[in-house]
Amino acid sequence: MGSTQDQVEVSYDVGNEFFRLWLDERMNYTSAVYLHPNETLEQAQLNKLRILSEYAHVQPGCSVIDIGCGWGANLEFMSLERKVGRAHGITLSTEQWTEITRRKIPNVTAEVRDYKEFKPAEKFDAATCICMMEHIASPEEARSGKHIDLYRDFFRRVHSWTKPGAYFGLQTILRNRMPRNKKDIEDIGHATYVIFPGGITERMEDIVIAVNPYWEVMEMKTRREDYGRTTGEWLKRLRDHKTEILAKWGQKVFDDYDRYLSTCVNAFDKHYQSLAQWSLRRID
Amino acid sequence: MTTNRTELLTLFHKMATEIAEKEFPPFTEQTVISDLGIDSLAMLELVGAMERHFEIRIPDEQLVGITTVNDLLAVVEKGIAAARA
Ligand SMILES: C[S@@+](CC[C@H](N)C(=O)[O-])C[C@H]1O[C@@H](n2cnc3c(N)ncnc32)[C@H](O)[C@@H]1O
Repeated sequence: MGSTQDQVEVSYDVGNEFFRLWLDERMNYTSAVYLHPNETLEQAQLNKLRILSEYAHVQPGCSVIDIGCGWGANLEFMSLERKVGRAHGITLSTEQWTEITRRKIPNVTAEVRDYKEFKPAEKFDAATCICMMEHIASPEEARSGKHIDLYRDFFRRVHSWTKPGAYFGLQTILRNRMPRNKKDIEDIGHATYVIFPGGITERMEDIVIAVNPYWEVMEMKTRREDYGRTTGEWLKRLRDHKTEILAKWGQKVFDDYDRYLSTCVNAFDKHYQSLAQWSLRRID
Repeated sequence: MTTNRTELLTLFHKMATEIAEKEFPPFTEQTVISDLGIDSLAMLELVGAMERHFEIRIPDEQLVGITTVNDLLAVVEKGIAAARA
């Protein structure tokens, strides 16, 4: 069953002000896409959101469900830039929901809801999900081979929430190769068990298997280096705010996040992990 | 360079001793690796040492079912054969 609500709160409820210090201004907690070498993190995050809206065929006036909506960056983008009629987000984090509500974004609604319990009153024209699938299966479930059924159940649900012809813009981290040295294995273990308890990143082939028989893969692009650069920028901003973080959240929080972000930079560099963006079309 | 089972076993013993930093009792190809006190982390280190030694790459999915010394050596042999094909 992946991360429980308590576990999700470990990952995302450290404090909105903490994440605001080192994420981009709209607080995307997922990889950006760098299309030009000199782009800022802010610009690169907008590129990411634009690509996923295109992958999901998000049109003016349409309705979209954003699954695992974080602090609302994508909801805000779809409302303000893509002029959707309605964007609804679900998250398991109360802090994130508070931030979205505080932003008072037109045509945006959000609720604290597990996707396994989400039953929308109306079907959506499109769906987006940016790096939530990492919470669907636990390391133990992946080891015992239960993960594909869990991913497939997720894809079945999204299918049932959408109208015929809908597209689904999906972004996922990929688990490519296990490290072969102690330090890197322990660092990835720290990110997996301490920072994101209850979850594990997916393997590309597992997603390819699990989308069937609900979704057709129309496009897929990997962006390993983009996530390396994004996490590098987060780490730099985290360290730039070291004094403030130590004062407000203490040494352990700073050390944990410094280690986790350093691990990410290393993991994308060494091909342990990658990133993929998918355009999926409903099989009707 | 040809490598037979006896040589592989000797290499396994040498590398495992270095990684675990302890002496093992005599073991055979049927010995369960975890019974030697080699956990999954040390197993990956061992795989890495074999990969570097033979200049091969072993795909992760072949590591999933490994329990005995024989399982591990078979995967290494497969990697060597693939690299020479
Ligand atoms: C890495 S964050 C990504 C947030 C956002 N999409 C972004 O790009 O910044 C993962 C999100 O998935 C949500 N989540 C995790 N498990 C969930 C579940 N079972 N149901 C709904 N949302 C979930 C978390 O609350 C969090 O908002």
